[in-house]
Amino acid sequence: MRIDDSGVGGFFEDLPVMLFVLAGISSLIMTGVFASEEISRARENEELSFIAVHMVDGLVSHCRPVDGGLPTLGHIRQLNTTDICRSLASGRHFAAAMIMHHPGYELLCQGSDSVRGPACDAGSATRLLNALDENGVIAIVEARVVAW
Amino acid sequence: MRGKSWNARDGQLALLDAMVFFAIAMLVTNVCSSYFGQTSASGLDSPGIGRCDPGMILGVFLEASLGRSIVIPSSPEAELDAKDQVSDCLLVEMECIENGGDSLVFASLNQLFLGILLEICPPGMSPLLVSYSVARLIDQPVLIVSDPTWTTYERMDVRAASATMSSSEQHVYLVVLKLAPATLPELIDI
Repeated sequence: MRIDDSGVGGFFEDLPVMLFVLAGISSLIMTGVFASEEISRARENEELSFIAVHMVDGLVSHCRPVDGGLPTLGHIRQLNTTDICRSLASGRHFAAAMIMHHPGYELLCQGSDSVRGPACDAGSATRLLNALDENGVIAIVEARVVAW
Repeated sequence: MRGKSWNARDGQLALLDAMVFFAIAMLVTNVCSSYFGQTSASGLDSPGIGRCDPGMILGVFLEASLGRSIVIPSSPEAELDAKDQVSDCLLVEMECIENGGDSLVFASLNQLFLGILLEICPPGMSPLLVSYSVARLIDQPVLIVSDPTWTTYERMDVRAASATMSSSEQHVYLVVLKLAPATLPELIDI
């Protein structure tokens, strides 16, 4: 019969080994979970950005008159941005605004389908366009949509 | 005695292997977290798709009106109306400078151009408008309108767009708009 004294010593010698291995494995697992969450989040943001681009393009095309000329600020002020964006939102929440930057700053119109803003993931898109004001001055208007 | 000695050496080797594995795992963790930390920075903080497109900004800038009347203190004095388009005024200025006129009389007009550009540029971006005469050397700009925070050193993060304009005298000009992240004022002198 052999005395297994090396086995007892080996167990205590293996404790730090086990701790290092467990710590390494757990950090790899946590990294994998974090990476997969980030990838899915980036995909979600990308999809939201595409929806925002789609909505802002729709908004701009509603601004332009059928004859291809410049839209007027009066027409933009009367736009129902909520209805236009809702038809293009693919079930997502959104907020849209048309803002004049030049020759002065003015919020022309805005719309949203929710009282709450985006909490975390969101996509946004912007288009700049020229518009005629009542005095014949060509203004610069920004159409901006945030989707979440 | 001999076998015990071998066991101790094996134990040390196992500990060393575990430490190496742990170090590699930490390295992988750091690389992954820094990579995904950078890529996930865009989101609500992002200015939005299209906001930093210099082509779109240059297009609406050239087509817009001045917005307010301005007097050019040349001889004779010239008054530009609020309805006059930026592209027409820019062309008049470039023609005047190209024909040997004093560029200082257009300082207020250039300030107005810069004001419009700053209004439509995305926050945190600095604009630089440069125009060249295509007939002359391309490294001698006719006109430069720049933000004070624009730095002259070579930058890698510049976005640019250009448009050509031709005058009634058949002079062709190339107008270039550059956008770069604004530099902090305290870093300009460094």
